[in-house]
Amino acid sequence: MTPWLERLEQTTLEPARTTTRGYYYLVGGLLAVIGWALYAYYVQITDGLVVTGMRDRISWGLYITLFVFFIGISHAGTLISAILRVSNATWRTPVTRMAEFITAVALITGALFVVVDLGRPDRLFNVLIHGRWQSPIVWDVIAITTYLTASLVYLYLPMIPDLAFFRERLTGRVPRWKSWLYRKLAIRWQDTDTQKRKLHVSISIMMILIIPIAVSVHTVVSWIFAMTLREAWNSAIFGFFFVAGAIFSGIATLIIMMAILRKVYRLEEFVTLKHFRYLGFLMAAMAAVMLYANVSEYVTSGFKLEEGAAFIFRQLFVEEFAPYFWFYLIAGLIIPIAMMFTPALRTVGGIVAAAVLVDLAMFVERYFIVVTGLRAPLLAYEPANYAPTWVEWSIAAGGFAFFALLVTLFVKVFPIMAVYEMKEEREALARPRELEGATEGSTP
Amino acid sequence: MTAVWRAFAVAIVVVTMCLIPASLAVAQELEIELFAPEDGITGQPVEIAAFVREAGTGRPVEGATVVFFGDASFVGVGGDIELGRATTNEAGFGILRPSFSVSRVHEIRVEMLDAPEVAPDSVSISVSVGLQIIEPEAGVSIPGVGAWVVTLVIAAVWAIMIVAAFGFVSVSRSGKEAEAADRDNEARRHLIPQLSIAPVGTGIMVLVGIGLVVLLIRSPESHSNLDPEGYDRTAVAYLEATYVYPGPGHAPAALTGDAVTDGRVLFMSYGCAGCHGVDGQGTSAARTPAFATRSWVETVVRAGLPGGMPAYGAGEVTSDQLDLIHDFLLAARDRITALGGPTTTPPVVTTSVPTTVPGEVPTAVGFEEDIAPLFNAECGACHGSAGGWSAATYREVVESGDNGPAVIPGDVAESVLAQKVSGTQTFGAAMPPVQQLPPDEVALILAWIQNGAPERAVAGTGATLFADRCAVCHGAAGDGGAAGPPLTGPPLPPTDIVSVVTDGRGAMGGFAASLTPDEISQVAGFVVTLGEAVPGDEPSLAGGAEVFRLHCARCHADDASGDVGPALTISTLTTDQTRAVIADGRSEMPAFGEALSSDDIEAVLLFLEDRRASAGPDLTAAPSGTGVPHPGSELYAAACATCHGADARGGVASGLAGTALSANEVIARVFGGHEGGMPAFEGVLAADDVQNVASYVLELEEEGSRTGIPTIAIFGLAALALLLAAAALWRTGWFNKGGGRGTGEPSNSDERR
Repeated sequence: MTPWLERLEQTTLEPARTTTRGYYYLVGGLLAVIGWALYAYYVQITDGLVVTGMRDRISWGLYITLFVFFIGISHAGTLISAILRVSNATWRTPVTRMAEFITAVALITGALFVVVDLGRPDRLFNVLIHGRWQSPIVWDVIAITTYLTASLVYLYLPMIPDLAFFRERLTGRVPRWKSWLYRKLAIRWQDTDTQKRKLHVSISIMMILIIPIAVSVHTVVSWIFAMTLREAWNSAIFGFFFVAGAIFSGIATLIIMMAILRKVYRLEEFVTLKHFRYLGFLMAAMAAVMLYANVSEYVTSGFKLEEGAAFIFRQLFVEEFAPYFWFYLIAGLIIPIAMMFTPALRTVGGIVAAAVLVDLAMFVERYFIVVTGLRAPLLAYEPANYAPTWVEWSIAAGGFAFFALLVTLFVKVFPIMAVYEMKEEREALARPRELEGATEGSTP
Repeated sequence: MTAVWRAFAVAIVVVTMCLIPASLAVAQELEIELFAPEDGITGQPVEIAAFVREAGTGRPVEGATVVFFGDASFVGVGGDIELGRATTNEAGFGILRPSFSVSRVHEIRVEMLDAPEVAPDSVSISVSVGLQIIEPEAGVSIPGVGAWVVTLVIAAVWAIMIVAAFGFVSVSRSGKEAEAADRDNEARRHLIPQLSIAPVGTGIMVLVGIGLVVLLIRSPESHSNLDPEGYDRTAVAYLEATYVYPGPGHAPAALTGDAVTDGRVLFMSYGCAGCHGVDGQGTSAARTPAFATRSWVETVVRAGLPGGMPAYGAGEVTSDQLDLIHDFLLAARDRITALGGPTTTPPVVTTSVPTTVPGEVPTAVGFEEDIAPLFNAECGACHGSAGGWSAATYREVVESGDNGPAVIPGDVAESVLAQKVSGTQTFGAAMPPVQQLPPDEVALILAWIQNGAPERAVAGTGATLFADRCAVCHGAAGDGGAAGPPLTGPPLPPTDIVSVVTDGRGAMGGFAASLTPDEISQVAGFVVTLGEAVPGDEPSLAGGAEVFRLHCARCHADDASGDVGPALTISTLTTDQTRAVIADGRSEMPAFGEALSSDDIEAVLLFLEDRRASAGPDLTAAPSGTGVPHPGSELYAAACATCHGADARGGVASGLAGTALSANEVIARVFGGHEGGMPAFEGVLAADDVQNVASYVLELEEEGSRTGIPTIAIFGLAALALLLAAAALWRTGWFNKGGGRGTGEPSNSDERR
């Protein structure tokens, strides 16, 4: 075993083996936030949705914003695991596991926010029992369920060899439930050729299948808005816009997660500046795409200014929502592009800062898409105003805490790095050099 | 002598014998028998016949009226409803053809009208569900594209996913073989076979996938509402067969070849049914077109008619399509007649000059006064020029016409106009062609012609003129009527009266065109006698009250508390402004500058001041915290809370608590409404109520803001915090390169890919 592999394995085993006190503090803190959010949800269940800021005119607010936001983040995994795998970008291997897991966790959190938005969550099953296929919401349910299943499958399949690795190395050194878990989940992986072949077939199927599924998910989420006739939402490019925004915010979230985990679990050797740079460039490219989409939408409708469009433009560009919109445009789209073009800022810290701005800006963008769309009056009445209440903020914080908690727990239990893939990739790269002979003197 | 007695006896016997059958006939008993089919279908007419016969002889009775009843119940209340009446024909049958919309057993009963001694008969009809009335099919129909396509796509995706997931099972199985090859078999034996996660996980996936697909398969059929079993709709109209109605404005795609069916499709597709009814039976919006001729249909459809009938050019509705529509209308005639005739009321057309008192044919009928507005409304649409006869002016009415003069004064029988409107014409069609004029209008025209077709009604004295022309609005005795104020107050100078009558004022039209100056002065003289002088020179409160009662009270009520007009006891106007309003009027209030002298106006102002003082607002005395609920709070809850929120914090409308408006502004807004949708409560709330509500609102204090910290502050703080944290972390060097377990080995980052 090469020293590099030794180091990789040790790094990967470390979180599952040892637990620091900081971990317990973190989990405790997150649980506290989640507990407070549960109390807020209890208040909402007993007193009704009147405790939120949502009323009859603006009936979607922070919850739907976060729903769209989290579903958007879930596209990180698709991009890194599937698209980069299909295009054979080998640099992705250290980050694929994190990306895939962010996908699954974000999907769960996003789906939870939809349930939270319901004043009568017991009626959720009516969607299944009485659903009509003509409804974008039913499409949403179908698409998100399909994507969640697919991403869980796609998370699990490449993890099987790593779980086998954990099973071999950790049995007896970790609590018994963990040993049992690894043994079960590794499903008798013995690294035989037959198994490798079968796994490879399944992964190949999934990696191609999950791309259209992921595209369809956020397209369908966007159609919750775009299939209405509200002036701000009545846009044909919403599907594309949302998918691009999803990949965009997914990359940003991945960068942030990577930076944090890299620091905490000392992954600097494997998750390097190069990864951040590549992801940063992808993010800047998506920012450019988003910029183009925004320009396309606003110039097209602004030139014509059909009935009601003037109100949308006014509230978005100069009046109530101007701070949000210009923050999103400048800090979320233009500045990250500029930062990626500035060599001095192309450090890990700079890229992470850009990613933070992007995530913040995308959250703001989801927020003002939802609220400005609902704010435009459909009849001649005064436009309403919306402001989230403490209940909504508490549950939002709880959602983020839930997301962080799941990531934290996952890292504790499952292999954080795709050891098997990284090993494979390194061997594949080393082999040609061996074939070329030892003249170069490089060690595999 | 005996011969006389014998003749007398014979006469008595003969007379008695004649009387007996007559009395017998009077006392003859009647019987009713009801005939009806046993079954019926919802929406289709069922023929019910009642046979009335004499009890003994069984001879049919003609001309008896029978009443049909059906049973009905609604939300626990049951009873009989009258289905209709019929008069027996010469065969003794009275026939009704109702249709039922509920599929159950209907109990039908028949009785003789006003003859309770005749025993009623009843019968049961079992009505079952009939054809669905309309199969809606909106949008574009692409053959083969439906829910099945989406279902198949999603099923395919899940199938592929499950195939990939079966990789679990195959990996696990081959691993099992490898393990078995590695170690001895006796190492593990379990009584309960261990469930490998692979089959379980895959099984869950399969179930979820199947569940989703089942959801899709299930939805369209169980919720489409297109053909549910045993469900019948309350129908607007009935069709003999189902057909495809593609929706208004869409080109009718499926013409079946049957003229009546296709005609109905076209009739509905082009929007005719929207005004004329689905059966063409007519509605309050438009008359029935079912009894019109083919050429008339074409004329009206191509040219339109005033009152809302649009014109359809040949490119929109072709002549062939009109043939089909007309065939449908012909078929509709029988149905409409069976339902009791056209169910239209002609659209109401208002005229600017009131016609004579309805129900009476005036003795003096003049063209200008009575006939011209009638012709304008009923004839003018076509008879600018149709048939060479114009109904526009008197000369043209009397003299024009391609077929000779339309009006021969004094000769009703020979006047073409009279013949046409009564339906006795010798050529062409009756007029108006669609439907005959109401009988009183026909009578009016005939009376006019009979009286010599004068241009103006015969002149009369001032009193008769007043009774004829003015009493309609001003009342028979001039004390005020439906549309005009009383004329019994302090009279205007005669010259003023003359000018008012001649030129009109406000809503009153001028009579310059219809009365000669002589007549006008006669009327004026009569009106002067109606008025009474009010004593007193100085404006006084009593005088003001009197003036108010005579001129203002009919709108503002005797005590100025408001009726049709707003309450005057509470007002934001100054005295000068009030004076200006009285003099010049405002919106619907007429100007009294000419009717009232300035003294009178001052007197009215005194009166109003007095009223305000005694009933005016006292907003400083609002009780608070005394435990007694504020008198305005109930009113607020009733009238304001729906928009402004029960706690006055706002809802659909803005919050009112802690308002910065002054009392006058609040009152003005409540009275007159406010932009953004606040209605005016003038006339809805009495002055006292407005005062109470206003004081209630004004004393509401503003509590903390409902929604808390403005959102932008939260966002700003969060962004600021994150940026500060990032900056601080950056300064600590936590994100820089470093750390890791460097052992000298080249790391990934050093290798260029």
